[in-house]
Amino acid sequence: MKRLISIILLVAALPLVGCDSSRAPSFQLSEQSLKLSSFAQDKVQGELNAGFGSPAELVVWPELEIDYGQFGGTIGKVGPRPGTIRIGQTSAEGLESQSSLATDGLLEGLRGAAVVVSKAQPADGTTSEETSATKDTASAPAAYRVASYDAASRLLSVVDESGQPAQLDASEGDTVQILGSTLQTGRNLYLRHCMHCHGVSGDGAGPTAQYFKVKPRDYRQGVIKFTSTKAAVPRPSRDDLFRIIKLGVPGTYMPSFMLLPDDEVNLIVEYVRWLAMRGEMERKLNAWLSTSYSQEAVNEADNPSELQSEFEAEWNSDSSEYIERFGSDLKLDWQDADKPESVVNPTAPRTPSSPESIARGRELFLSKDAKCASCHGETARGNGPSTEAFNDVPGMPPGTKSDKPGLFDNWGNIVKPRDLTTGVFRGGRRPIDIYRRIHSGIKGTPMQAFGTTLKEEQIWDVVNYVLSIPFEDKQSAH
Amino acid sequence: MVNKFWPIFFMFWPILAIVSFVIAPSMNWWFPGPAMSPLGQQIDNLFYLILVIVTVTFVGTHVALGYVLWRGVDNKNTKAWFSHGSHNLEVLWSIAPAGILMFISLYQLDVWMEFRVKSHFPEGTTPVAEVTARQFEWRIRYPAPGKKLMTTPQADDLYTVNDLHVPFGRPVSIRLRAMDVQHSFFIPELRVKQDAVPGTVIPVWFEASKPGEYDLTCAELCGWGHYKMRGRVFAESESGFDKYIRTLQAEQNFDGVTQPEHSGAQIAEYGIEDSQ
Repeated sequence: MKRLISIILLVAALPLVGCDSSRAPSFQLSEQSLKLSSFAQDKVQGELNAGFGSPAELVVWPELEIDYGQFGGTIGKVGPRPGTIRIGQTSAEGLESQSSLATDGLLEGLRGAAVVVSKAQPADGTTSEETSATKDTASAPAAYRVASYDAASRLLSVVDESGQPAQLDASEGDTVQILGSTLQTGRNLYLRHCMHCHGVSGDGAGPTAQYFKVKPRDYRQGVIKFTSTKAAVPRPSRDDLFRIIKLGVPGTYMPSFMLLPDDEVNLIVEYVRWLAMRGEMERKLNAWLSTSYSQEAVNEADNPSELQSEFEAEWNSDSSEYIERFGSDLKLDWQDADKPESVVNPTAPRTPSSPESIARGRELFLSKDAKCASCHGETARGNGPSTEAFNDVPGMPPGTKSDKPGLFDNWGNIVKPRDLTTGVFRGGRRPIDIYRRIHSGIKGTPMQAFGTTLKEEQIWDVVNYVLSIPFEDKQSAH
Repeated sequence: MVNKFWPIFFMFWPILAIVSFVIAPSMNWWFPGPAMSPLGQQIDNLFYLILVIVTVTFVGTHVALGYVLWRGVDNKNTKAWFSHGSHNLEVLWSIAPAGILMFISLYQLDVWMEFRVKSHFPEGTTPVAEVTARQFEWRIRYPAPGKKLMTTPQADDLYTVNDLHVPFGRPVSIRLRAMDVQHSFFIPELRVKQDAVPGTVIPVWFEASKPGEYDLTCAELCGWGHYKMRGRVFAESESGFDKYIRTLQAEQNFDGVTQPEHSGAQIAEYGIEDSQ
């Protein structure tokens, strides 16, 4: 009886204790990084911290193709306490529109965002890039950070590097800018809507992901399956990501976020791009370091400390050059994706769907040129002979066969070619969507690009056939 | 005064209940706005009828209880009176509630039949779309303009998600399906709620009496993402609805050449201005 009472009391006390709220979200190193030796891991971690920061404290790295965003206004009043400012007028993309997010205590709001105070007549050259908390924070001028912001009273509290209230050199009429607002609010929204499947670091391994048969996308390769971009353009455009979030991916667990306002979706898109870039940066560092400085290499080395000093020497001499190159590669890849000429747009309109066009499409589907049937099967049920074969494993040297039959994607999952009879098209059901799937393939999967092997009219014939498959006479299809 | 603790304690709760009901509408604890459909108005009326019956019973029994307690506390001298019961009284308190229940069940029958039984749907109810609930979204299939909604998907059907557009001012119906687990199709302002059951197609009819945007929510705990399973219902004029369907058709046949591409944002905005 006593035990029963104590159990009841304990249960009753639970709401008072609550869950452990001290567990702040943090970025985890990838599996590949964990295979590095501890000294190389430290450097990778340090580089990622310097370029990207942590979820609680995001870093602006101007080199990246990211709209970090900024907002601000003029100072209405300095004080009342040291390190506080009352904001008078806000700029067009002002604090007001984001107030609900800015005051969201649960998600820390804007805490950690860099603050720049400029004198009333700022020099024209004072851009965010020069004054923001850049990669080398130490050299940036006046790197204050937001401690808190109260939207109702417009009271902004600012701390300096050491976390003490900042000794602001500011007076009424000066302008104040808070940098990284896009990324900050994007992060807040991402943590609210996306994190539980896609994970804090965008590794597709959030707490809910374990229950899914179709795994959430791991962004860290920078690869997204359903894009409008050409096969040679490895990254998705902003609009591709926007469409996926708004419309969802039918046939998977990715739901539609149709009711999220457009500006919020745009903020999430920017944060997802940034997470992808962070993951790519980590992969690039790994690719450079993993051959010589893995944990395995340390274990096998005759003299591990010599290997470490060798590593230190190489890191000190080469790392800045490598990192600069990785950064500019990232910039170019992601810039490319948003160029209008990167989008697959046919010049010939769709051939009207006719029995003749469908028949031509079916012939191509079964032909040696297009080889659709080798994966999708002659009846297009996604059961072609390749699904039973032992195939190459992506990311491994060519010729490395898997020990399991099936087709693999770049994330190491077995993928089933789409069963085209169901009428569910993950990347969209518009003719242009199917056209783009055939033209540039599905990135990160064995679905190849046929934009060079097939002519436009041929692709349209296949599109017409694919769109007709769900409505084929079921008797004759067997 | 200590003696009166229990009578006061037992009277406090019913009085609190009555007070909360009285202030509920002004505190916005009440219905999600007035019923925006003719049937919804009748459902509200039924609710109020039952509320009145329950209130009268509740107040009556609690006043009696309070009276007995209040009087009984000071009564130290008379012994309790033991009874084996009264046959007449028992007959009375069985028949009276049975009569009330019988009255309620017969009185609500018309509304129930009209809402749930297909043969009693209002005349001219047209099926506009098939709504398939899945974790955690509403997938919607419309027939092509000028065509009838068929039970199986057609090549020219139009698809969208989470945005259900319907014409206002006339009864329309949807074919409600579920793809994975049980969901519930709930438009609070129209007072429509119907479970969606995998393997079954359930016709649901409703009529929005005014144009506007209404919430569509899932009212059956369907999994971890239940809270995010929200949609919108746009009740539009006939021409606005027609225009929406034609825009959807143009979007769905988009081939990258014949017309400008709509961004995802524009799809979400279709027809909103028409519904105002």
